[in-house]
Amino acid sequence: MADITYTISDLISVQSDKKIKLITLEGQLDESNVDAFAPKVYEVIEALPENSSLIIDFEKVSYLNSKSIGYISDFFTQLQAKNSKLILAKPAANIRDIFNVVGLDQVISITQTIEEAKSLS
Amino acid sequence: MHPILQNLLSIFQNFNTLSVLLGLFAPLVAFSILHFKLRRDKNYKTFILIFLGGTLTVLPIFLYQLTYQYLISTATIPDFVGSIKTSLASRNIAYWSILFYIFIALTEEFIKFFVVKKLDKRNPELITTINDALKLGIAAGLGFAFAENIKYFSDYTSLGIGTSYKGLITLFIGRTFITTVGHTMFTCIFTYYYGISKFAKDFLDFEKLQGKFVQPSDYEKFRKKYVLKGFLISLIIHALFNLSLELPKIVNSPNIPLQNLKTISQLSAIGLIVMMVIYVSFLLQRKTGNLTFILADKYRSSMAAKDEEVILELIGMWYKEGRYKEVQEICERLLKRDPDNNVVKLFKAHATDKLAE
Repeated sequence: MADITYTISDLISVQSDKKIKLITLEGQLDESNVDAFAPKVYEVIEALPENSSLIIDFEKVSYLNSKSIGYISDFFTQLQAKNSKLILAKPAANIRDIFNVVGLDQVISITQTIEEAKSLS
Repeated sequence: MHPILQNLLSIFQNFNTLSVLLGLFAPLVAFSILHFKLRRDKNYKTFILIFLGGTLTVLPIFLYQLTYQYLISTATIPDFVGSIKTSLASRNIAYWSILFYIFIALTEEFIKFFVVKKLDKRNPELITTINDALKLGIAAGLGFAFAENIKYFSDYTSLGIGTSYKGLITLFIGRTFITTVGHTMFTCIFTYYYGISKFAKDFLDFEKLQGKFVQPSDYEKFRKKYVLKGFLISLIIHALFNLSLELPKIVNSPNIPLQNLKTISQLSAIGLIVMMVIYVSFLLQRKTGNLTFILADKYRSSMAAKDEEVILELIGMWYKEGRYKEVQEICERLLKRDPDNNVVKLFKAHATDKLAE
């Protein structure tokens, strides 16, 4: 059974009126934990006001399964409905590769740094 | 009149020759179409071989007839035919007729299956798409019809079954538009399922990725199941076709006028043919049938196996959810990284078929 730990924090936006949430992940997202983790993200999305941003930091994620990608796609749809953005930050090369083949990079911003992600928010 | 023209005319004036020529007409025309369509095909020579192999499949039927004639001529029982008739009289003639036509269908389909299987085993590259298998079926079926027509048309005159031009034309139309097409379609249906069985691993992996539980032993079971399924479907249709054509002989009831029985017989045979032609045309047009399966990986994937597995699972999940457009797009991108992945090709083809529906 793989472990995933996460922290949720607020980031200060360049535009003061915008709310930015950052979820920092560590570990592996797989069948054993993804269904328990996803509702936490939905709660964050639910609490976000319109025109906000959610950044997910993937730097310390070594593996994610297909269901996780399905959830990411759904997070994007939910945020889009709230006129908000989803940004995936600092994924490892292999995870970035998966995002590219799935085509997530065509609809979701993927950045190399949190600063870059903030600037896109 | 020019001597060549006069000779040509004399051929057509000879009833026997004309009969055989008419018998060859349909399979030869069909084969010529096949020749022009497939002359640049990688397997053209094999198609010719399969066609010739198909012609040999009538031999067992001839063998049955020869054995029967031999038994009659050498029988020590004074009234051999009469004794057979007495034995057969224990049951209704319809029973024996049904059994006979099923047996004939079984023999013919088994031999066509044997020809296709032998050639495929010798040259596995021959069938790399399901449509390759369908084309082989067409060639084998035409070969069979070619040889069988020679037999039918020569019997028509030599055995004194008929001597009228009207009867000959009726036989010609029947053998051309019903029997030749029929034999081609029976074999096509079988070879379609044979094609699926050949790529059992890919088809089963395709189902596995959509959540089906698959055990290692299931691959062989799947392969055998599809070979048997194709064989049984073509056998049943063939037997039904034979029985519908022989309906007047089987029913043989004084209450139903013979002409009515003949009409029912012809209409049911034509109905079966039309349904089979529609079905085979549908199979030929499907993307799944056209996709090329790679028998051995020539190009290795440029993705790590673990990462590719994640994408394959996602494809399976989204396909099941009906997200065909996304599946099609992911498959296109994944095939650039792993061009020989048959399962990805299958997902792409199925998604394309679903989007076209």
